[in-house]
Amino acid sequence: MPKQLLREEKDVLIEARQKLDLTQQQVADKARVAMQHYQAFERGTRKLSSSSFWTASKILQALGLDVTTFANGGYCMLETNEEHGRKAEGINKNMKKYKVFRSFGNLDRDIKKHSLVAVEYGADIYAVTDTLIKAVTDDVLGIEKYQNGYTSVAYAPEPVDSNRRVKRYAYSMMAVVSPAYGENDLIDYGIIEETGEGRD
Amino acid sequence: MSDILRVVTDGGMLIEQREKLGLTQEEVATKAGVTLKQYQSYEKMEFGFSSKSMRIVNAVLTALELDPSSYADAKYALKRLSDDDPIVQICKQIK
Repeated sequence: MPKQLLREEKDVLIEARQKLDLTQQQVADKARVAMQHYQAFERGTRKLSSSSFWTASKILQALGLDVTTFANGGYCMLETNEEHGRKAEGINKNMKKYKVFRSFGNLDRDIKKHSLVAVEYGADIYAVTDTLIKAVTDDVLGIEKYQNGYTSVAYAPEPVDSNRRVKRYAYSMMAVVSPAYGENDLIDYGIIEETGEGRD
Repeated sequence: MSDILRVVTDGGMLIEQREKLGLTQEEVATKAGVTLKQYQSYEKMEFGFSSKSMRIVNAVLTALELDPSSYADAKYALKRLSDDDPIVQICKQIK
């Protein structure tokens, strides 16, 4: 079956770490590797798949990822059959990559601490709007303080105004979390758009 | 099954599984995409196969129908001896 590269290894690591709400230092400690060593994997300057099985498996286990799945490319590849093959080819050549970051409420604050919560691919922002809304509403309800009885809605992405303080995001989305009784919380999400060049 | 456990070296794990599947060293090497010499060196290892690259370890384990996750969890490192194993018989006599 043909396989198609969907995500880079470093994105798999970052996503898994942020899902567990761990810092780089905590993962490094759990895996018993040096912090700098682990950081190199998240930067992409080192690759788990070409480092020793021992190191790679310690890191994967610290991140709650399955060693066999990773070794067989399960986290980075999508298995495609003939029919989906053409669709997946489209991902490489024309599709853009959208990285969704969660802020601490206001998009303009603590920008460096925003966490990557989802990566989606699509021809343009309109093609991924539905998936982004789902990703954001799911993410909000995954936050610990919103676990019980909260509902969430999210607005479609809007282009970030050029006079806004934050410059790194192309689009922003707002999520509204509502408790059964009481006031809503608003959380901004930022979206970085990357073109498909350089991926194959 | 007895309650006696035996430590299995990395090489021992490879040899036992290869023999169980009735494969030659050459066949496993070809399947895993390594040279015969490389594969033979893995069978001589006690512990340290996991210091080989992820790609190689995965290829060799998969060729032998072993699971990389289980290997990472050291699940192949201990083996329970069966009741008719000579060692178990001897232990029983000593008791």
